Amino acid sequence: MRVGLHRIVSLILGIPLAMNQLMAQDRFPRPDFESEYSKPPINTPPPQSTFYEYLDVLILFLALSLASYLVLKKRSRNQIFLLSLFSLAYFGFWREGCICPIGSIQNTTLALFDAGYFIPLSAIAFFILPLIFALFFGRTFCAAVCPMGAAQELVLIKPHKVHPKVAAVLGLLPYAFLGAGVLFAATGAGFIICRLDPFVAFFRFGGEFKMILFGLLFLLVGLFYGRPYCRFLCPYGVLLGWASKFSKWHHSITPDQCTQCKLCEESCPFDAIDKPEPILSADEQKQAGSRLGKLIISTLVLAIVGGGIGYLVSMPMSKMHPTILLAERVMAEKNGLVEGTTLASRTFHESGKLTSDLLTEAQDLRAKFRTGTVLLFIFMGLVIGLKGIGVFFKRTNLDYESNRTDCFSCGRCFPYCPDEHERQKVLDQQKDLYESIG
Amino acid sequence: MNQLDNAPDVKVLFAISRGLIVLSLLVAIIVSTLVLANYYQIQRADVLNSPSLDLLRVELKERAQDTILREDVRSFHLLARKAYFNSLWQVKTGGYLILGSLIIFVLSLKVFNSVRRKLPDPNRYRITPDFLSFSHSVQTTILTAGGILFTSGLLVSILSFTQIPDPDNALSGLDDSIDLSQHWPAFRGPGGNGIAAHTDIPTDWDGPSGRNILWKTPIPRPGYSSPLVIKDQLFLSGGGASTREVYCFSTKNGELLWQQTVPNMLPPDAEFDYEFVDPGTGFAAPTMATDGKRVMAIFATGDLVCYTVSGDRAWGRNLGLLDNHYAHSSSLIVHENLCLVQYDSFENPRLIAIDISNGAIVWEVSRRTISWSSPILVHTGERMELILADSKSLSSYNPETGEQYWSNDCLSGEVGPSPAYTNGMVFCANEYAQGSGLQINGPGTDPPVEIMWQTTDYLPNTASPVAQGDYLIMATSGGMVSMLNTQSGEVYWQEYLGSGFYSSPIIVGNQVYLMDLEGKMFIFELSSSYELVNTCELGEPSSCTPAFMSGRIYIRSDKFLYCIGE
Ligand code: SF4
Repeated sequence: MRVGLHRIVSLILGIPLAMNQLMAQDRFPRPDFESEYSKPPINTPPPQSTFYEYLDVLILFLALSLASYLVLKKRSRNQIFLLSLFSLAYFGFWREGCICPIGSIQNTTLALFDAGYFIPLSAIAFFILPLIFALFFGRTFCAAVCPMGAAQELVLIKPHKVHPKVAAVLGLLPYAFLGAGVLFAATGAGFIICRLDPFVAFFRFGGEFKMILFGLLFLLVGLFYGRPYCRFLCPYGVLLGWASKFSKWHHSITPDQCTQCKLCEESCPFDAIDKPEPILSADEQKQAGSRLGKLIISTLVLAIVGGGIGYLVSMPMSKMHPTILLAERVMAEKNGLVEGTTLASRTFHESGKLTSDLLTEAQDLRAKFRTGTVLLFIFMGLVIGLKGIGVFFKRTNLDYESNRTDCFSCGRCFPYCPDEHERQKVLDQQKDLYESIG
Repeated sequence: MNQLDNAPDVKVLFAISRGLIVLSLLVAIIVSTLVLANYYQIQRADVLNSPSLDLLRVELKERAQDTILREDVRSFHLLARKAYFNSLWQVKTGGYLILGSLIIFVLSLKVFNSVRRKLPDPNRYRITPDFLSFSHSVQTTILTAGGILFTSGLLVSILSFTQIPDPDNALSGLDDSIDLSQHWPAFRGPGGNGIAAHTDIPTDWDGPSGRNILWKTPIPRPGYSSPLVIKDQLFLSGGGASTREVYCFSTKNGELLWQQTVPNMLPPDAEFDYEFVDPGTGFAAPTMATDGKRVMAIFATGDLVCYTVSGDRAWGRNLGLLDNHYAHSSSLIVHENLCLVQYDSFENPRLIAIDISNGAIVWEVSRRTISWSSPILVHTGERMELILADSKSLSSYNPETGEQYWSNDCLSGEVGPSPAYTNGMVFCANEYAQGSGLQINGPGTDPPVEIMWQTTDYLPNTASPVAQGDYLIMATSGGMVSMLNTQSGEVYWQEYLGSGFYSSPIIVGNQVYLMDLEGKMFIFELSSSYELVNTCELGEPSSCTPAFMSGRIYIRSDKFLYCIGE
């Protein structure tokens, strides 16, 4: 029997951290008596020093380099896993999950759309570096540098396959999340990618109850379905997948020639191994061609219809912008549709701002939202259509290969290849030889 | 091949781990359910805000000295807090239990899986179905999901509604684009200079018979402040020692659109003597001012308050204890984003500029002495000047910075009338002192201002003079009206009209409207000889200055607000 020792150690390490965050729930409400007691002053933590920003970038760069080396040269699953533990500890618990490349999508977007927003250099570096590495080495960031990926790797105990149809549908979510994240950041509605980060509450030892539940849900699902967040929600994974598709070098299951022994076929818990498919007959090719034509037309139709739906949906979607939501509330109060006030509307009334100014601002924002939502739904139409078309193109390989877009380069499949065992033996022999020579 | 088959001691491990999986999962589920139930109970019960406790608190406010009641509230609150923290402790302990059981669950599962680990067996892998039909079904699923996504979007958009109007639709009552010169934004109209922008003003009405009285509406509380009019909204202030209020009436029908009680903003330790306020001035003598979006009102207590035209309170502040023996009566005036306050208290009289958007003081300058007149805001050729009187002098300031441009000691006594301005000349007058015509020489000149003429005949006590072109009109509280030449001070004519004037004359085109204390309006030509156009009775006494808008006059009598129109 061999229980992965490194996993148990890391799980035990995680216990006090997880306990801490549970302890950090419900804040103590202030006593409401007037007494001699003077409240201690509220101390605002000083801003993060730039030293840490640069250190983070340096560590990110080193971790990416090491991960790429371990995936492509060393081909060591254990070492990849250990590096991911370090990343979980450093980027997750020590740096409290911020800044991370996933969230940096929003910083970058906001910087592009809001001239008044100052984007820290570290945010740019965190956004760009993993993508550059993916262009050269595949998704080595996902393999061992992303703390969220590491957390999910830790809890994966009994992997099950997700039905291909379910996976295909769920696979649309990251695109929608990416599009929505960009839209919301561009319009200043907020950083929803961060707001819906299921793990940050764990990293920070506290958070909203519903977010902890959300995180627990992902961890529970992650026990049986590998990396559910990475596969079915992560917006940065979309970008990494695009970059990795064209990567110069990429992880390969076998260190040598694929002998099509099929031993690795079921080894990937993330369904990222493409199998060789038989060549289609002329008749089948004809069928496939005509379907491809239909799919291309469907894609165009979906994009156009999507644009129309986006136009209509912009109104309800824009209500997620706090200013628009406030304007809706203030007008509803004014028109007698609701009773009483909310904290936000009271604050507005006391601020001295004018309803007409608020409405003008809300109208401007809604116009921006309209453009953004139209583009988002056109994008989703294209994604849906192209995903359908993409099903055909999964079959171009002749050997067992990791799918360049979907593979996280985690290295789980390495030991399943007999050639890898052979390589290890040769390496060990070489090592013995060198040692005997002295 | 399964490891279990040939390792007997592993079988024990297998059984233990399986048992632990089931047990730990059960514990986790049960405790989670209890914790969730407890959590929602805390949320729902909201023990710290129990209605009974709130009631006790209200009672305590009324009986602040009741120590038994205070102790009761304390012990009740302590009990509530105990209950609250007990529940919190339960949630926390539950959290530990869940965490512990989940850890045991994960570890047992790992052991369980390790002992069951199988070697890969390619022969047992499911056969991939026919590629074309498989891909077809996946594609259909993806397209169906897309269809569902879009249809849901469509449904959501159909079911949603918004309260935010389209930008193309005019925002009734919320439109900010207002040219104030076409409205009545301050005491004596735009700039406070007493000249109406509109000339299509009625010349005939009769209050008692209702002729040309479009509507008449009661004003909830008294006050000598005059009306402001912006579009179809009219604003007034009123009040007394107990309550001060701001009113907004519809100019269409006189309906009271909103009414706001101004909170007392005096500091708790301020020793303001409510009895000391002269009833002849009252608590709401200063006329309000507006920038077209907000209205500001000031009261004898020194409370300055701002509301949006739709009645939302924007801000309010007390400007410090007002020590003024007739009570504060200087009206507010607006320049750009500033509300300018002539804040005349014996101790530390000041001119204060307040940021209309937030109520913050932008600048303030000390004044030598006080007065009961109001500032005017005029363009003197090269710059805007804020001109105001104190009991000794007439002074001019930069309305943006408070910098004093010039000052001239041409006044004395307790000055009530405000200055008047026309063609580079400014006029001021006060009963028992003198009336003066001053030439403003402009920036960089020495002297910047010089007295061209002075008179001591028939000077006003309350009603402010008004000037246009060659003509200057002054009306005394005794009923004498004088028309003077602005350049020389030469008297064109003097007539005893009416019962005395507190309301200020307003120039409408080539005519002057002047209402006496009985509410009788004298309309006469702005000319070198006295030519009466008409006299119209309101039927009620009035001391306020009317507001003139296109085709309409709005008059505040002691109790009512009148709209006159043909
Ligand atoms: S490295 Fe192998 S096991 Fe890991 S994701 Fe890629 S294909 Fe799957």
